[in-house]
Amino acid sequence: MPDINLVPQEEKVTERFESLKKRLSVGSAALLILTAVFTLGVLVFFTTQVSKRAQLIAQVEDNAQVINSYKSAEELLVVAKDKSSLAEKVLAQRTDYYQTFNGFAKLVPQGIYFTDIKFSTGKIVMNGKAKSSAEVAGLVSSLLTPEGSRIVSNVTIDTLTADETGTYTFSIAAQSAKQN
Amino acid sequence: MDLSAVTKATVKAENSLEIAKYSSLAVPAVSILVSFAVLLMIVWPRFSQALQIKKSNTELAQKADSLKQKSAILASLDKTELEKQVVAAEQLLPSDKKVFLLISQIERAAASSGVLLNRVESTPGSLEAVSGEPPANAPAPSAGAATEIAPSVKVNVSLTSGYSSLLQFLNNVSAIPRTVSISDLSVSSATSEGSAQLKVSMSIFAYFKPMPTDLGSIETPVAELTQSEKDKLEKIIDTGLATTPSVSVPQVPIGREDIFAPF
Repeated sequence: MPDINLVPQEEKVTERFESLKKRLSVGSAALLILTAVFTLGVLVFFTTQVSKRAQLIAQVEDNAQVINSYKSAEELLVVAKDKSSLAEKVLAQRTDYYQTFNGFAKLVPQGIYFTDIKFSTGKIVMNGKAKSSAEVAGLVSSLLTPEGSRIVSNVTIDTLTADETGTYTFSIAAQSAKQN
Repeated sequence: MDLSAVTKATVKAENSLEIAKYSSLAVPAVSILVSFAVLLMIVWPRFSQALQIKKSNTELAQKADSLKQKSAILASLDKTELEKQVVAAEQLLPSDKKVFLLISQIERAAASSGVLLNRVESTPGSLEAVSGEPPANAPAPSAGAATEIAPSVKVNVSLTSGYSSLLQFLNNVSAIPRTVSISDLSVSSATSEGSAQLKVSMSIFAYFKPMPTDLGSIETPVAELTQSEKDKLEKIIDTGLATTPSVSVPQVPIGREDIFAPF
């Protein structure tokens, strides 16, 4: 009895084959179209980029020529900038002693004079004499005011001695505010 | 009847039919293979190349843009003004130590402020400033951060003066066109009981900067002068110090018969 089913099975195989053939044909056609579209797209993209590159290279060359024509001006500018910017840095860091002394003089009480003042390594050491301890106290409190803090910080009294006449000799050390 | 011959012929016919049947799949299969081959061997490499060109185009566009900006800046510069600024900048920060010019400027500052110079001392070393060479008398780190920024020449000065003259001298030194800074300033009374006369010692650092030797690449952006830098240079130009010979070392008569005879 198996012979009865032979014909439909043959037809089924043929149908499946035809379906596969059809799908393969459609797929290959679609792939070909896709390949063609993609190739065309890539070609357009590539051509655009190459042409853009050529334009940019031309632009760069043009600008380079313009820059080269101003080379002497550029040299002058580089020299002026190089020197003046460095000078600015140095001047920004230097201590203006004229201003320091002027500012300092406004803080010193009337009954005080200095015998020596030394500035070094951002430190200020002041030795002087005062009519009384109140004058020294006045000096120290002046140095601790906001005006004084612009000139010195970390004020320390190293020595304070009085002689038989009541005159005080003092030594004060402080940090230069500029150097902090 | 020879049936084997019939069987052979039948098998052969069946094979031919099978080949004919599958050969109809060859065209789509080959076209798929060709498509893949085209995609892999032609399109994909070209696409990668195009992407690389796009990337380099972005860089090129930036380069073109920066060059355009640079050329616009350079085109806007006034060369005459720049020449004046360079001369002024050379006064501000000379290319070499110019130690005699510095001493001469210190002497002028002292003379105009009324201080008495007791001692002027310098050990400038080699007078040729070589780019990158440390300063001949490299200042100690204690001299302040400013001395580390640029090479400098140090002049130790001792003087005697009154307080107001000292202030005037300090102001005059600060006003020298050359960039100088004072450090290790020591001021003491001439006597221990206090005096109007002061003994002063200080170190004056004068800075210099050798000329830049190259401009760098064409793509190096050009930095314009800031307003404060322009003002500083303008100040030197306005004083005429950038052009007049007053800032040079004074000329002296030359030639002696006996070089050991006192002057």
